[in-house]
Amino acid sequence: MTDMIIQSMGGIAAVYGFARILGVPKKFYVWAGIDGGIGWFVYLLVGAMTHSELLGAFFGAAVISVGANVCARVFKTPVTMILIPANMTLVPGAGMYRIVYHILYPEGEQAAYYFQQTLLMAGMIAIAMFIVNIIWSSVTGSMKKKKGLQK
Amino acid sequence: MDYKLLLDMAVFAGDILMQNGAETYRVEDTVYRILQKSNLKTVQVLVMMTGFVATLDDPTMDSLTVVRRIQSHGTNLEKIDQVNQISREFCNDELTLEQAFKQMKALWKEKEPPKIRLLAFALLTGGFAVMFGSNWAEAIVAAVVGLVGAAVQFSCKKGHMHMFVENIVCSLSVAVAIGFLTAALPGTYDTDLLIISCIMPFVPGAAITNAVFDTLHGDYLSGLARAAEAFVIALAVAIGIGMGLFVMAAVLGR
Repeated sequence: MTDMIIQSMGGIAAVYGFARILGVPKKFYVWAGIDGGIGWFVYLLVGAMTHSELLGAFFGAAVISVGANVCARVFKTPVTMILIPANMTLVPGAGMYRIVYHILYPEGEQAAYYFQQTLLMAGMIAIAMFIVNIIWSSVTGSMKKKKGLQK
Repeated sequence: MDYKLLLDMAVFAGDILMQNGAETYRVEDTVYRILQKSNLKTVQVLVMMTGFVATLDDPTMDSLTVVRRIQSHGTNLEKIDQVNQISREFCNDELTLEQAFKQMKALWKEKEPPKIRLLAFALLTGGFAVMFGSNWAEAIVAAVVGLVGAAVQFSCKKGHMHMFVENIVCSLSVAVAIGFLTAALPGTYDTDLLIISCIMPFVPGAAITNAVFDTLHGDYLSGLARAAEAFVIALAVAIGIGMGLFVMAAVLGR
């Protein structure tokens, strides 16, 4: 558990740095970082509980998307401002490296396995983002209608 | 209202958004909202990743159409936020058309020279190392290699290198730096973990996220184009790592 928290702290630092590189406005650095850190924590937690990296990635990405949508609403800024840096924690860079490594040093079907695994990870993240965004926009859309704010 | 000026302003907005990595949906939405302020009968916007078309038409006038081809694609979220701010204020009538046009044009003209972001890179790679479960020594090595990555990317950007070559050079130099550092320093290091953390700045995260968003909003052409972009970047990074591993094996014998 302590390990998970330390690792998530690392995630916060990493996303903070990434937000700077992408040129995110200063006030969002910390929020993007926290969003990414929480996402990584959920990924680790669900992964440890279910022994499935893919489920972890799904729930991690879902939590990140919810956080990014909340931030976007509060600060009146595009969702991607938070989402792109925060999502970097889950983007399968490790899978990419393992594919190349096992192509150069072939060991059975390892390269094909990691290729499939990487595509599945990316797909899982995409599906989580899809579902959260669809639910989010339908919920906030109906809220607007009730308050009569729709233009 | 000066429709020509309005259209020009909307085109500047779209141009800035496209060049700095906004989702297709956001570009279409922003340009559409700006053009809607004209209260004309027909307002049409079509945005694809490589360019866009915008039209204003009304029975009382000739139609106005602008086509813009977008050549360069980068990621600078700050500009997206600024365009968002200006168009929001314009649509809420807090800015007049002339003011909004001036601000948008100034934003469009401003070409920032590439910045070297040593601290951010070190924080990023060190942070990723910790995130993937490294010990402190490995995190520090990762941060140092992050500095190398920052310097190499900066000089590539300065030299206007092609994106593909830039990604190869960056990931190659990062992998080689890791090989030499871990060989020179005492103690044992997890080379896999270090390489994974240090290539993260070059991995196509923004392209993947945007591909999903575009597909979600029904912009299938742009979605596929972005997915292809992500694949090309990933391929370049992979080639770089492969070459790096080769150098490590040839020079350091592992």
